[in-house]
Amino acid sequence: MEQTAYINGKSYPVIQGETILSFVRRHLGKDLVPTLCDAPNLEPYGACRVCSVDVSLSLGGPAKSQASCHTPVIPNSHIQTDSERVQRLRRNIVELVLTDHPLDCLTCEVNNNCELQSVAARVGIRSVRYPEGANHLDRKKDLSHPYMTSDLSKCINCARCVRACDEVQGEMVLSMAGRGFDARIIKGFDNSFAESDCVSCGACAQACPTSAISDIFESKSVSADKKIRTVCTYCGVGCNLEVAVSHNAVKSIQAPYDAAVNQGHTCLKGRFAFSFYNHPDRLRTPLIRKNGTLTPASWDEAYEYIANELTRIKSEYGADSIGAISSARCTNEENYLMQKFVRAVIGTNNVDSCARVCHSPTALGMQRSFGTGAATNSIVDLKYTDCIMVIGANPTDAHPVTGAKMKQFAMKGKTTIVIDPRRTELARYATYHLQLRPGTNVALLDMLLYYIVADGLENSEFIKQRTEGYEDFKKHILGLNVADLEQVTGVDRNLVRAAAQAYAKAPNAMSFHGLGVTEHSQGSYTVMLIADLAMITGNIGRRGVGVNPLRGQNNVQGAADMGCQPHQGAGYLDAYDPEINKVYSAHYGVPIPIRKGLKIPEMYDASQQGKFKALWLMGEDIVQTDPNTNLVISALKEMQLVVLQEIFFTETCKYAHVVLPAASFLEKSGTFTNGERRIQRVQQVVSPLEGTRSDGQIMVDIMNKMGFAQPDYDPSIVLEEISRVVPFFAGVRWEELGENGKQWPVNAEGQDTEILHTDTFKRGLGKFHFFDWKETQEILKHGKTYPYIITTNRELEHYNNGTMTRRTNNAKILSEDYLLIHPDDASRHFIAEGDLVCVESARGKVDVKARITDEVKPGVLSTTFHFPEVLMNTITSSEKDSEAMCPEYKVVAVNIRKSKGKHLTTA
Amino acid sequence: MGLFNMPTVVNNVETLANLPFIADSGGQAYAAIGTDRSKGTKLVCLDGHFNQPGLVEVEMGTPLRTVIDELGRGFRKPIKAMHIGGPLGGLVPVSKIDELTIDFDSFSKAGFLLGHASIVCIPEEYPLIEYLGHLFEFTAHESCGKCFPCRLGSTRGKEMIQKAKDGNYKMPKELFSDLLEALEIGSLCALGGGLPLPVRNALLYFKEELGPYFE
Ligand code: SF4
Ligand code: SF4
Ligand code: SF4
Ligand code: SF4
Ligand code: FES
Repeated sequence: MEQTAYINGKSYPVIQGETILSFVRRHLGKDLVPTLCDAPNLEPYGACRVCSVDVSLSLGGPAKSQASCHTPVIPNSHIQTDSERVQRLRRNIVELVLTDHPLDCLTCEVNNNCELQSVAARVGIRSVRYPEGANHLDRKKDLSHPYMTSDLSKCINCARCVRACDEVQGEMVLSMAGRGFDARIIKGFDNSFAESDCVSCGACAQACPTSAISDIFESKSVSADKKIRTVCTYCGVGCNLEVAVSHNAVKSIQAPYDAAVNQGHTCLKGRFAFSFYNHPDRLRTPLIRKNGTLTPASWDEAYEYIANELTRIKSEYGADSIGAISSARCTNEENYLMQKFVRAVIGTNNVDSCARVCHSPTALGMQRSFGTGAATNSIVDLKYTDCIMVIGANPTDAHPVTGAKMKQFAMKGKTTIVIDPRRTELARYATYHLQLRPGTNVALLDMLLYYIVADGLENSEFIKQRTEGYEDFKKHILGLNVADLEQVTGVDRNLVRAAAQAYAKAPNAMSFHGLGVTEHSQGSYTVMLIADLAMITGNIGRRGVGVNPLRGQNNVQGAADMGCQPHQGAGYLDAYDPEINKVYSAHYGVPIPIRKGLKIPEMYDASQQGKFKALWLMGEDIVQTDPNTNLVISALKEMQLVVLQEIFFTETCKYAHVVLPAASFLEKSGTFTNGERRIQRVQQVVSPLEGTRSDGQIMVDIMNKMGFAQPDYDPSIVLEEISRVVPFFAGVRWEELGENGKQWPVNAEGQDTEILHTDTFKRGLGKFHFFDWKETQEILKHGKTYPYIITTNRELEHYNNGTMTRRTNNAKILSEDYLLIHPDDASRHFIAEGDLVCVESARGKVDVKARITDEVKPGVLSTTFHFPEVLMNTITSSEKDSEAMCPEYKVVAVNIRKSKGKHLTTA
Repeated sequence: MGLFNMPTVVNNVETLANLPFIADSGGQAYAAIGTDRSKGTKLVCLDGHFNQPGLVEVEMGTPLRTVIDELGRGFRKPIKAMHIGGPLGGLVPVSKIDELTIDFDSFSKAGFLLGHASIVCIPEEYPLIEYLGHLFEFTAHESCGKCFPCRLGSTRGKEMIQKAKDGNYKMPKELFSDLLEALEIGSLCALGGGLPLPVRNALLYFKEELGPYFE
C-alpha cells in the first residue's frame, strides 16, 4: 500500500527512504524550506540546520525539530515546515552565522545571488544581537590562480566546496581544517589554489553559497543581461553550459544542475576556457593568396575566387580531383551541408572528416560486430554497472566530466580494469591495471578472451540466442599461445586472468575505449575484440553494460552520422549502392556520384601523384594534427586550391589559397551529438564577431554561388532536411530537442533511445571476429634503429592542438608539451628533469622537455602535442589502421638523446 | 559513517562489564535487578568532595540519598549543587536529593539526566557563573565544528558570559534563551544539544545568584 505523510496538515505520498526535504520539495516546490549546506548535486550533510522542520508522530503530538535534508520521512508523521519554533530556530542560527560574516553585501560580488543573503532575508533577521567576538574576518583573499579565487572571510563553513571537490570532481583539494570555532576551509596543505592540486573544474565555486570561493569571471554575480544554455565545444562528453552574457559578450559560464549529461559539473575547458572567442588573434576577414601572400579580401571576392577555381579545376581535372575534410568540431547541420556540397554540388564522394584520425575504427568495427557504430549505452549507466573496463583512454584528462564519474566509481572500490601503457590517474585507483606495451592491444584482448573461454566463463545462453560465428571464434581463441602473448604485451598472465574473471563474473560490466584503441594499425580489430568481450559475457542490451567509445571531439559522432566519409552518406547508407544512390539523388534533387571517394590519407597520396588538386578544410589544422607533417605539407603544396574555414591563423593556413574567417560555437546555433548519441542544441550566445560567418552559412553561400539553391543557414530547417534522409533522425525536430536533447535513434514519433541492441542487434545477430596480433610495420621496419616506442597523450588543460585553449588562461596553468620518460631511460641517456630531449624517428626530429616519471615503463615514452613549438607529428608515421585508415599515432619507433634545442620550432 | 563505512556498534566499558554476569546467570536474572524501566546496575563515580570518593556499583532505583550518605559518607564541605551524568547531565541542587533515585525515569521526570551517573559537586562558595562559563568553554573546546548552532553558539555563549563576568555587560535574557534553544533543538549531536540542560537547571534553581548577569 502506498505510504503517506503529512505536510502542514495535508497528506502526500512518500517514496520509501526519501528525506523530508526531498519529500517536501517534490510536492510543494523548492522554496518552502530554506537550506544553506544542501546542494543539488551533493550528498545530504546536515551542518547548517536551517532546514529544520518540526516532526510529530501523531497529529498535535509532541514535536521534535529535525534537519529535513538528512532525515528520512517517517510514514504517517506530521511535518510542520513553519512552526513558530522552527522559524525562531532558523532565525537564531542565521543570526549566529552573521556574527562571523562581513556585512558588506552591497560591494560583494554575489550581491543579489547569495544564498546566505536570501536565507537571512527570508527568515527575517533585523539585527545581530551578540556582542562582537572572535571571527574569521581577517582571512586573506587568494588570487593566486588563473581562474579560481577565494575570500574566505565570507565563508560560512557549510563544506559544500569540500564535498563538491570530493564527491563531484574527486580531487580532494579542499578540506576543513581545525575543529569547533577554528574549523576553516583550506586548500591542499593549507596553501593556495595555485599551489594545490586543484584541477580548476570550478565545482567548488559553483557549489559555494557565498562569494567565499569564486572565479575570476565572477560567475555567480548577477551582472548579466541573460543566460543562454548551450553545449560545450570541446570534448565528446557534451556538457551543457549556461552562458551569462552581458552587452553581447560572454561574461561567465556555469553548469546547469538539471543537465542530463553533466549535472552541474564541467571541466576547466567548458567552464573557463572561452576567452579565445574574442581573442585579438581571431580571423576577421577573408584572405586570398595573391602573389604568394595571403591578402585581406571581401567575402564576395573570396567566393568569386573559390567558385572560379573550383569550376576550372573540375573542368580540367574532373570532380574527383576535388575533396573536403569536414570538422567534428562543427555542428551536425554544418557537417551535413559540407557533405551535401561535396556530393551534390561538386559531384564527388571525396569527403571525409577528422573522425578519420580518431574514431573511424570504432565506427567500422562496431558496425561489423553489432551493425551500429555508436556507443551502445549511456554515461548514466555508470550508476548501474558493477565493473568498468577502460581501454586506451585517459578520461580524467580527456573526458573530464565522465572521467570524474569513473574516478568516483573506482574510488568507491568498485571493480575497475584499466588497460593502458601509462599509469593514468584512473589506473592509480583501478583494481587491475594491465600496463601493456603500446601496439599490443590485440594480443592483450586475445589473452582476456582466452581466459574467459578457457575458464568456462562465457554466457552460453546469450551466445546462442544473440550471436553468430562463435564456434569458429572459440577454436581460434583456444589455439592461442598465452605464453607468447604474455611476452608480447609484457603483462603478467595471472593479472590478465584475474581481470578477465572480474569482467566476466560481474553481473553488469561496461567497457569504454578511446584513441589508445583506435589509433593503431590494428585499431578496427581491437574494437571488434572489445565487442567480442561484451558478447561472450552477455554484456549487451541492458543498463550498465555495453561497448562505449569515448569520443574525443564534441561532435565526432555527428560528423560521421551526417555522412562525412566517402563510403557512407548521411545516415551511414552505403554511398556505393545503386539503390541507395537513387534515394540520395532524389533527396538532393541532383544526380549523386557513386564512384568511390578518397579517405584523408588517400587524398594526400593522390595529391602527390598529381591527381588531387583542390582541398576544402572546415576548421582542420591538418599540418599540426595529421601524422607525418612533412608528407602533409608536400601534399598541400601540390594542390592548386586549398580553402580553409578557420577561426585562427593555424599552421595549415600557411598553405591555404583562401582563408575564410568562421564563427565559433558561441556565435552560432546547431546541434552536436555527444558520445552517447545525444543530439543537443547549441544555441547562439553572442553575435558573430564582425567579419566572420558561421561555417554553415559559408557552406550555404558557396552552394548558392555555385548554382545550387540552398536556403540561408538555420539549424531548424537543415535539421528538418536531415530528418528526411537520416533514418535514425526521423523524429528529430529542433523545437522538440528541449534542454537535454535526444539520444538517437529517434523514431518518427520523437521517441529516443538510451540503450541500443536490447532485443536484437542492428545487424540481426552479433558477429564474433577473431584476430591474431601482428607487430606494426613501424616497429618491424624501424624498431632496430629506433628502439624506443613513443605514444601520445592529452593533458586536461588543453584541447588537441590547443588552438583555442592556448588562447585562454589555461596556458598559464600548463604552458608547454613534455616528454614522459622512465627514470632508467633518463639516466641511461644522462637526461635530467626539464632537459630538452631530441626525439628522432625515421621521419624527423623534435625537441621536447623531459618529465621523468614511472608513469611509463622503461622503453616507452609519451608526449602531448598541444603546442605548435613542438610539431610532434613531424615524427609520426604514415602507418594506419588496415581497415579504417586511422593513423597510428600511438606507436612510433624513436631514438632519444639529450638535445641542445635545435629542433624546437620546425616547419 | 562507522568502521569500514559500515554501521558500527560502540559499547562503553560499563556495558561490557555487565556481560560476564549475564553470561553466567542469564538475561532473566539480570533483568530482575533494578527498576521496571531501568534494569540492572549503575556505576556511579563520586568526586573528591565526598568523604569517600570513588566508583560504586548500585542497583538501579537506589535512592540518591543512600549513595551520597552511605556510599559516599556525605560531603566533605558545603555543597550547593551536583552536576550529575557528565558535562551534559543536569545540575541537581542539593534540595532535590531526596526526590531522586538512581534510574533514568526518576532523573528525567525531575528535569535532569542520569547519563553516566558521575557526580561532580559544586561547593557553596563556587560562583555558578564561573561554572556556566566553564560549560560553554568545554562545549566550544569539544565542538567538532560541523553544525552551525554548536560551532558558533558555544563560542558566542562563552564570550557573552565572559563579558558579563568582566562587568559592564548584561546578557539579554531573550538572546540567551534563543541561544539555548538553538543549541538544544538545532545541534546535530548531543554535545551542542546537551549543553542547555545544566544551564537551564542553573537558571531555574539559582535565579538569584545568576540574576545580576542578565538584563
Ligand atoms: S576547482 Fe575543482 S578541483 Fe579545484 S578545488 Fe574546486 S572542486 Fe576541487
Ligand atoms: S568556501 Fe563556500 S562552500 Fe566552502 S565552506 Fe565556505 S561558504 Fe561553504
Ligand atoms: S568534460 Fe568535455 S564537454 Fe564537459 S566541459 Fe569538459 S571539455 Fe567540455
Ligand atoms: S553539536 Fe555535535 S556535530 Fe554539532 S558542532 Fe557540536 S560536536 Fe559537532
Ligand atoms: S540544509 Fe539541512 S542542515 Fe543544512
